[in-house]
Amino acid sequence: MEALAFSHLTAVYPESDRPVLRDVSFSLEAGEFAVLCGATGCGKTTLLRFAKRELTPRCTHTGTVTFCGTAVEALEARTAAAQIGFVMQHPEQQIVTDRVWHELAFGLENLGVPQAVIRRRIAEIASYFGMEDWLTKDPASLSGGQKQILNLASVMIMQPALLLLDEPTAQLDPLAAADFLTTLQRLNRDFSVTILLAEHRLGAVIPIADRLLVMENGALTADGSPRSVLEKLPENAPVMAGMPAPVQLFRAVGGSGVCPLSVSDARRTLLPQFRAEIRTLPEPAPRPETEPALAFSGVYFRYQRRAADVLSDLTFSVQTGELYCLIGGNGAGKSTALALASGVLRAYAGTVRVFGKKIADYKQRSLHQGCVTLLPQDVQTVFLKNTVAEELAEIDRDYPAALKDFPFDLSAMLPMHPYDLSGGQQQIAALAKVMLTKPRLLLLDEPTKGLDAQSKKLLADVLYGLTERGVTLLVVTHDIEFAAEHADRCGFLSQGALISSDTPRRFFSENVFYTTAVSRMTRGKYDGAVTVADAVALCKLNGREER
Amino acid sequence: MIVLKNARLRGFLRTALPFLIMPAIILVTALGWRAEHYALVSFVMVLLALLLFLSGFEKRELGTRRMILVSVMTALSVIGRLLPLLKPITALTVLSAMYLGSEAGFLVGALSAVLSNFIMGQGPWTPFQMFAWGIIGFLAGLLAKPMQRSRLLLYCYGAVSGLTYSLLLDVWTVVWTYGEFTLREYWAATLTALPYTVLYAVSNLLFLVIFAKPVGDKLHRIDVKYGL
Amino acid sequence: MRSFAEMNPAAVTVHLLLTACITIFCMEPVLLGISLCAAIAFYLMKNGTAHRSFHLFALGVPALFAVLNPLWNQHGSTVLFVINHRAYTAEALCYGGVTGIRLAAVLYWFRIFSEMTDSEKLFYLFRFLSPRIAMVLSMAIRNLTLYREQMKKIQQSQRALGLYREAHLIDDVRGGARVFSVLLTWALENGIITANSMSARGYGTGRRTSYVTFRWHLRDAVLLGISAILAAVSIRAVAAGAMHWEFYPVCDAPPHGLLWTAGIGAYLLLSLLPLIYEGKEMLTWKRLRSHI
Repeated sequence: MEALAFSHLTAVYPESDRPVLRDVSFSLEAGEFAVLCGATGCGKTTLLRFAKRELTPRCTHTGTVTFCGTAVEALEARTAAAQIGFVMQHPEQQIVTDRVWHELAFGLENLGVPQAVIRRRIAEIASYFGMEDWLTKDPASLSGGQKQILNLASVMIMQPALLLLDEPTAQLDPLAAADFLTTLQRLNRDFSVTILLAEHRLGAVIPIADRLLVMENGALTADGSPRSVLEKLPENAPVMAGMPAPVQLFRAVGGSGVCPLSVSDARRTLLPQFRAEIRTLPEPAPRPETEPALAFSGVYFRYQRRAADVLSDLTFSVQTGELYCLIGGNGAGKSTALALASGVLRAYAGTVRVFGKKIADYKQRSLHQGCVTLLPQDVQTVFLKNTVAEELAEIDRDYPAALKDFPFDLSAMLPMHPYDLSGGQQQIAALAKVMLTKPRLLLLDEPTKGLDAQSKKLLADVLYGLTERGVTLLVVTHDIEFAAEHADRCGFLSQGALISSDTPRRFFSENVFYTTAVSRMTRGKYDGAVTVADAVALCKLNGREER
Repeated sequence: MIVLKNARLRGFLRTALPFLIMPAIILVTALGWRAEHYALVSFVMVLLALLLFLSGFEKRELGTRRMILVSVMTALSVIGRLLPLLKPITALTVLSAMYLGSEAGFLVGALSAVLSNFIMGQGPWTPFQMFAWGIIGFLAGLLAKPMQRSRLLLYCYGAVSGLTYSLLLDVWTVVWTYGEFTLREYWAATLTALPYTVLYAVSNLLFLVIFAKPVGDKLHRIDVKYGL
Repeated sequence: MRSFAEMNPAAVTVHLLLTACITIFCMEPVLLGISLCAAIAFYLMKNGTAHRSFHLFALGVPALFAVLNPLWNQHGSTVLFVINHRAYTAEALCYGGVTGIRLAAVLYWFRIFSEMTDSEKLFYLFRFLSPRIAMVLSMAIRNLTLYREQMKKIQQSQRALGLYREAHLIDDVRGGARVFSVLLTWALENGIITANSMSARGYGTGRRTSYVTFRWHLRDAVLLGISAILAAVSIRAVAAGAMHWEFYPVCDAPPHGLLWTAGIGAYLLLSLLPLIYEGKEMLTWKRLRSHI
């Protein structure tokens, strides 16, 4: 049976001449797990919203969307609300009430379900999702991952037949994202809920999906099982950069046979196709040693006198002009280290030096004017004006001259409201604003969070441009693929101390568990391959195994 | 409840009762009837007016978005109390009423009073504060159109309402502490509270001057982009 | 046996409001004394010796009022001394003292109410008025915690941008206004997301039920009944003038009749109810524990 069907849907936003959706047609069978991918701004969100009546965007459209054979707009209000569930990107803002149990009850209350039934459903769903301990908590006290599970549960409690998810893991760290996806898969298997998931973190999703839909500029360009789609997809398609590493490698080296979707697939079927006479790539010339821009030595920090140390004996330095990535799990102290480097927090023992001078010796404003600036994780905390141009003018009236060297053309976003920009654009606009304070040392907290592969690439280009102009960058991130590809050096923070620090190639090939997919894939066959480009180069150098 | 057939009459009473009749009674008793139970009478009247308005609220049409925005503005005006030197409740109540309507204004004012008193301290003054801020919001909603046109009128209304608020609450304080209302004691009380009253009026006006434009712009944007 | 705080919030609230309201509108020193002592005792029982600054405020301000009242209040006939050509009378001091006790008692009772009423209970109480307002209130409380967090983040990021300063008062106000302005945009935009999430889950599709975790038990009805009867007796006594004191020109109380005794007795019980409940629960626990 068809759970959801789009037929020839074309939609245009008011005040726009370009359709956001062009002639979209597809249908999902009940119980299917479909993944919708495409670059930011290709119309994924609009498409999903057309399937959810309450959220249908205000555009003019032709074509129809049907749910189980009935047009979505003809559904009875309560059926539409209950049968079609929708989970959005930001975990925090979807939560309505201030108690977990009340959040769960909220949907059923709206449907007028009697008390006794609500009580029972809450008990059931809490035990299914393993959230009994949270029931009486304030959602604000939950972690991001837990909040998103709560959002999922409070939609699932209404027993939807169709679940629409709009980049639900974009704001989560990799571990929480994996948890969320596992839960989703379980729901799909246990209750045969039809799932349509818009996502750009494809590495973890593609192996579990039944269907893959690819969008480009508002049109559906590919539709089918993941393998078949990936084998046909042109190599220069915009979504390719976000595909799992095994897929990228398979396509780049022209592997034969079926396309591998996971690391173990690739080790089994793809890598044996290549010889391994040359095991390593030539080491690139080391960066010349420069003065340290930032140096931590023996730094200790805790938030309260009786609390545990968040940083203990942290010692590391970042050289002038390099891009240094600090990686590590949750609670390792990454953001705290940044806050110390930016002078917002002060160490209780040890010293932090910025350009050779103790941070405490900078007079209150001199540190943040023309010296150190922090780009926070939540870039929305930087914006307060009505347009990007006003934001920039606020720091420097003559921003066009000051940003002459900025490695990105901002002119298209200048007249826009910062909140109307996509996540990646917001990141770049905030970066531009921050750069106007002319920092020599720029600290970035999770700059790739929520960005798709293309936006990451764009961001990386901008960051390279900045290092070329002599700006030193310290990036804190969960994104090890990003660190492996773009950092000059990486440091691994755990329990508030630096465990290891090296160039990405040596760093990731020496790590066993905390490392990139390519490194895990090529382990034992090649040495020091950590990015897709490394693996492609090695495979091409070695050539195919003769049969 | 008595069932009123005429919908217009019902609508009129629903607004008039809490906003015209009850305050009138309170005022008349204050001026004419110098009974010792004035404090009690006014307390009960205010409580009744609040209950009437708030319970009547269930029947009113207020879209989901408007409701959310009321909760947003309420939370903002409570948290705004943490700002140095700025007193946001009156100003944000007026601004909410101006852009979201009388009813929303009343709610923002009244709910901010309850919530902020959980931080500042509850007391018998809570209903009066709720009522006073509620009315300030309600009236601002009626003046919404002219105030949107004239910034000056908005500032005047803000300044006057901030001042009236303090002066009215002083009336009740005097009545409650002395058992009756005499001008002499009222003057003594207002004079003692004068520095505070003036500071309050100034910081309230300051807040309004700083935030009238941003709040207006931002609410307008929400209206244009998402519809209210 | 449940402790007082664990009874149904509606019953607890009615009890506390009755106790407080009688205090608010009565000027009988004995009754006020009872009220204050009971409130302090219960507060200490719940909180121990924490919140010293509250005690200082709740007892200090009224005491100050008592001492200062005769300075601007010239009524009364027993002149104690004269300062600045103004008489400082015993009656005015007495009146100030009684008013002070009343204020202190009211402060304590309302503080007890605030501390017992968390957002969940507040939601439950407002539902009686209007479920819709309860909803708005509940969301506002949630927003409050959300905004406090966000405000901290904004402060940090603006500080790291060098845009937020605390050098002097004007800078301080300007910085505060900046932070608030950023918060304002964020709050409004995110409010819309919340609104979407609400309508996506069927808000506004028709009549709602509301799920509450508090249920009504016989013990709650008993508490409510006892409170109502005791309060009725005291109110009757107050209304009949049995509690009426004259302070000027000389302190004078009506003769203590049966009604006075009944009123005071009833109020004594009423204000001690929370202590009795709490004490009984504590004893039950002690007994149970000794059996383990």
